[in-house]
Amino acid sequence: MTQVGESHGWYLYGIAPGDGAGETEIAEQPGLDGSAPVRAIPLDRLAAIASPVPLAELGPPAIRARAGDLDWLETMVRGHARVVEAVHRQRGILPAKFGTVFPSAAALRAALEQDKTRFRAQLDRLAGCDEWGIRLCIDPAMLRTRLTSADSSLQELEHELETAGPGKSYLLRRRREALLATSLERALGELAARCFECLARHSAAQVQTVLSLRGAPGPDGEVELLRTAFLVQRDQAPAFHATAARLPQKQQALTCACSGPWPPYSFAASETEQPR
Amino acid sequence: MNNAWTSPKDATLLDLLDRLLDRGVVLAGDLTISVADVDLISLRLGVLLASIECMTTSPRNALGDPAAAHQSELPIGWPAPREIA
Repeated sequence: MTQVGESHGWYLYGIAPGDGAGETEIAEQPGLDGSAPVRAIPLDRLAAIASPVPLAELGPPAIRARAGDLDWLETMVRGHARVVEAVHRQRGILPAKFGTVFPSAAALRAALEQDKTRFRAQLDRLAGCDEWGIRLCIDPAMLRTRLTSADSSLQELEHELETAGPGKSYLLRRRREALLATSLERALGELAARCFECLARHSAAQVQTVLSLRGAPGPDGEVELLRTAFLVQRDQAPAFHATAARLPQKQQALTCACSGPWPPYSFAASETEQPR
Repeated sequence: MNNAWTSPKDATLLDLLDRLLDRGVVLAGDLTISVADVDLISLRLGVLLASIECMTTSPRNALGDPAAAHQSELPIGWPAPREIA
């Protein structure tokens, strides 16, 4: 086994299925800090994907001290993601949280041993799948206009407004805003649910990561309607993409941003550790 | 075409942080030496990003209507957060 001194710890990228070999190097993958190569440390039918890192650079106090330095953080985060991505392509991986460091390879093995059945089951669940991110945005102004023209009580209000005096028109306008806000909220909720259900048909699992109807509007005044991650079997990917592409065609004012294929970051937690 | 496709290679830092800091498998805490600190990173970052957001966007809410600020977190008809295995 690779020996590292006390000044070093083992940085964990994730847990992969074992390949029956002893401790091996992951080809052409330096660690997240660009130094020592990443290794697969076997345990039963699993392998911890880890690399030795100097604790002065990546130990808890060092990470704490540098977390606010976005350039440093970006380099480390991209380094971590690069290793996870490479292993995901080769053999599949259960990605670890950024910043998981063990004092020794023995401690890392012991942690793996403790939960090996759970890790095996999770790896089986994720086999052959990629994560795809979906972000749906909508232009609320356009939806507002459409709702007004489709709602008879709103139309009636509009009609009354045309002839109302200043006092009455103030009250009518307030009523219109309240009505519109309610029906807009309902329409957005229904639309998000409908899109989610369409996409879920092609995926093995879904997480609803963020749901914001009140996020800050983007440059075009668009708001985020839905942000989710889907776990998709590779052979289902074309059907999933086709569905995602059809969403904006079916619904005016909707834009769909899709990202992937990602390693299954959002699905690494077991059922008991519900992702946020 | 209203669709945009991004590969993880071109992902923004925010996209990555979203996945790497908040998710991922957690191992037995007593054996690691820094998992506890990750939440701290997350926290600091959250604060940092929030302050950036405050500086670059106006605090308008999504519906452009002050009444909307009092609406419930979940819109009507929305399924509860879940994971379907």
